[in-house]
Amino acid sequence: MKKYWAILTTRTQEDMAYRANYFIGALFRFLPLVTSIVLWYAVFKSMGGTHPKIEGMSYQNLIAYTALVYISRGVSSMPGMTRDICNDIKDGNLNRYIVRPINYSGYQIVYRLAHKLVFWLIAAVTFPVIFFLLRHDFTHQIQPEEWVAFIIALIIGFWIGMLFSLTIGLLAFWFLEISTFLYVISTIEYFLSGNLIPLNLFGPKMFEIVGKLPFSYEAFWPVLILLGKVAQHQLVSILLWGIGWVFFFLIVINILWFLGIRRYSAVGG
Amino acid sequence: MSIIEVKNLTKTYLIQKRKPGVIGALKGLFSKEYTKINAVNQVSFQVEEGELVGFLGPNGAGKTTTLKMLSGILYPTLGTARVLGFLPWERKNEFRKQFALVMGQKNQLWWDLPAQESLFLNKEIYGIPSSAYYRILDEMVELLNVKQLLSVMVRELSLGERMKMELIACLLHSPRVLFMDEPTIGLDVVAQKNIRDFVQKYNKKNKITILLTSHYMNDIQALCKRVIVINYGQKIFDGPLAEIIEKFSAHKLIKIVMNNPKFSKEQLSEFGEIVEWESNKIVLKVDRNQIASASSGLLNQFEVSDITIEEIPIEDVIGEVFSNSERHMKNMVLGEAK
Repeated sequence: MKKYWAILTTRTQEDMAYRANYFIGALFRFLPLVTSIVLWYAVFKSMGGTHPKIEGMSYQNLIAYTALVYISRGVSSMPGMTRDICNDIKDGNLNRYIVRPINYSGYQIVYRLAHKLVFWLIAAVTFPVIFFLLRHDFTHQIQPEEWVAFIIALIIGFWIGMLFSLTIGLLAFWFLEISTFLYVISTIEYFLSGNLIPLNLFGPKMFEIVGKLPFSYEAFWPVLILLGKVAQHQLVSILLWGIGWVFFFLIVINILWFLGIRRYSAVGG
Repeated sequence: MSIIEVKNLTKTYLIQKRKPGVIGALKGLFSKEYTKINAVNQVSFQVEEGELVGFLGPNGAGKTTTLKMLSGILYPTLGTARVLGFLPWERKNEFRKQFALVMGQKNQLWWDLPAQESLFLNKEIYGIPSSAYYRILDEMVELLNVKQLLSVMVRELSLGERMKMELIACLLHSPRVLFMDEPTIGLDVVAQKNIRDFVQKYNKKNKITILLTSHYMNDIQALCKRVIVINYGQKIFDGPLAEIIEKFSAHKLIKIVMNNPKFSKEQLSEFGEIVEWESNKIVLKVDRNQIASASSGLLNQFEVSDITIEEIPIEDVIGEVFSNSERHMKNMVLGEAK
């Protein structure tokens, strides 16, 4: 474990070398939130009535949802991870990991975890300001069990985001040039995670399906739990399903690595 | 038991063939043609503990592919190899803790951090005890004269300085076997010599087994008593460097300085091929068996003020070996085609 701790601290130092870049990133991350607020305001205004709702969600709910999504995506999104893994395989940089007594997947996970820690260190300054400004939109009194479920869902989201990126990255063993594929995948992931709009707005039939996909844990479920929109009896089954996805990806990654490394051509001197 | 044992090691790649032009690209979408390339073909050799062996061959000969198989990066198509008793491609941690791979064109240092951070990371990755780590680090920074550079960002180091740090990173865990793939590539002559001297001292002191590939004959001449030459994936020579010259060079050079400028090309050509002619200084390429008679003939026939007999430069011999094996392989291919 000591070696992975060392990777974590080294990576943290590397990130800190670009702290100004991070700070600006964390600060302006919320810029699209303004667009969402304007958009939802226009939608609800056009609906008329005293307390209009879409699929059981009020204007306040949707603003709170959009803001909270920044927390769950802040945990689950792995920017650049898939591309980095693809490049490692494509350019032969994987060699330097294979010859040393470390596990490449483990290395990648710790490397990204460190990145997340630095992000959250800086986000700890910016996030509270945003949530203070939007405090009137958080109407639900969060129950202790919802806090617990929210934290567990966030952890599941983190692992699914990480393992999904790793899975796609390892496909580079078979397909060396997958930049277009990565773009399509990241768009689908963004949409089906509930990043843009809550998944329950897709209508009950579609929601039956998309709510069961692994992406829904990357943004949608943690936020919905915190908004009090998930019935208590559903909490456990939703979390268990998510844990199932984590194990699914762990198995897939092991198979992909086992088969892929045998095909690896280690190009480049 | 030898520390490195390689038996019939073979690596075959399937390379996609594409016809030229847009039409070729379109055809390639529907039907793909593959061709088999034997990057390494039935190579066998053994290396004993403490040996420093040079691995020679032109670009694409299969040197790096062999090193990659011996480091466990690639799986062989056929044949087998044991390094320190381990099958390299099983990548057991006990194995990986006992060898290192230095690649001149790739490095493991973190670009945006001082080199010392990457070195410390390797300490943890290899589980090196603190006392040993600082002792080895001190010793190596002293030898390579880079103490003051440890705290400098890697991106700010010169290529030569980076290679020195890379060497330290690879040797911190005191590997018993070291594979070096073009460690001096791109370096200036001074930096090349520094690296060479270091490798020589380190090998002598630590009895480490080293397999080295380099295109610079100076590296090979200075460091390796034994060389393995491969071309087209096949081993074509394995033995002492001096033997290459005896085995593959049928000629020697006679360098003469004339006192009297009264001599003609025709007269000199009788003794051998004129390879250099500069006023009264002439270099003749003479058949090995004719050296004695040619020398005495030259001394008798002309007014010679100085005469020396030299071996053909090793670069030229190696070049000859490569081109001979190229011809040999082409003949084999043509023979098979017929």
